[in-house]
Amino acid sequence: MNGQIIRLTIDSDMEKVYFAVIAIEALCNYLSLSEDTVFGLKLSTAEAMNNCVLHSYGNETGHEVEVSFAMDADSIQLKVCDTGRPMNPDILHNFSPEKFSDDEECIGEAEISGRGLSIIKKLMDTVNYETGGGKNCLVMTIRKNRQERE
Amino acid sequence: MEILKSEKQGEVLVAVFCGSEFNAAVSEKFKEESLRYMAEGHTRIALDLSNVKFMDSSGLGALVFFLKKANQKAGFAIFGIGKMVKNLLQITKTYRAFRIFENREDAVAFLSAS
Repeated sequence: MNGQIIRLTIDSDMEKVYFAVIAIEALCNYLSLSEDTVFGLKLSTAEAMNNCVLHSYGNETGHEVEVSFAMDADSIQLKVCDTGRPMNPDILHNFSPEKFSDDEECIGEAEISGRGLSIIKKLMDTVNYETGGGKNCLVMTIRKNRQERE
Repeated sequence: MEILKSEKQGEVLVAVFCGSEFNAAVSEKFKEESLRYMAEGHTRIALDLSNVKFMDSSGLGALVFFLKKANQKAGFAIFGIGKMVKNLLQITKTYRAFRIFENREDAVAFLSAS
């Protein structure tokens, strides 16, 4: 995908993540994407950047977290990168949206707050993890006019 | 700065989430402040989420944390949720775990009668 529109870098600080979300939302609104696509892009940006801050950098500020946004005729690519500790790529395969429980008695804080990747996999059409050159990137794509409950 | 503001309405404590983002940046503070209500002896708590425009999994995790704690001692209801929060509750299949009301009056009436 070569139609890159923006690349934005924030400090590895949870309080800065929402600034990136606001920028993505503004871009989505300008591009008139579907409501479900915007929802998926905003939430996936937040979840992926939170994971960089929390897991790659151990919640330590002073490091870079980058989000880039590109598109072609049919889809959007969101790429969130860090230069911290790489994630075990197997983790990506272990998280599945199907693991959200229907049983309210089983719902726990850890189940929800540890499921950022499951949420991303639920909202995006493809999710891959790439490492190389000291950089770790979660690469996600979503159709421009995705309907979540289709 | 506190993220919850509260007032009593009869036997019910109505807590208003003041920010527009309920996310990883504030989830720990929410847990701390909400647990204080229970420590103070409040047993019926209605949480107003009408200011919240964006919630992530950390925010939802904090809400579930409080739900679990509140259900041990107190009645807990939420109201005023917007479309974004509703979508998040639905995709994570947590929607039915909460007692959700359209507005403050309905939430307070439910908790007052329980």
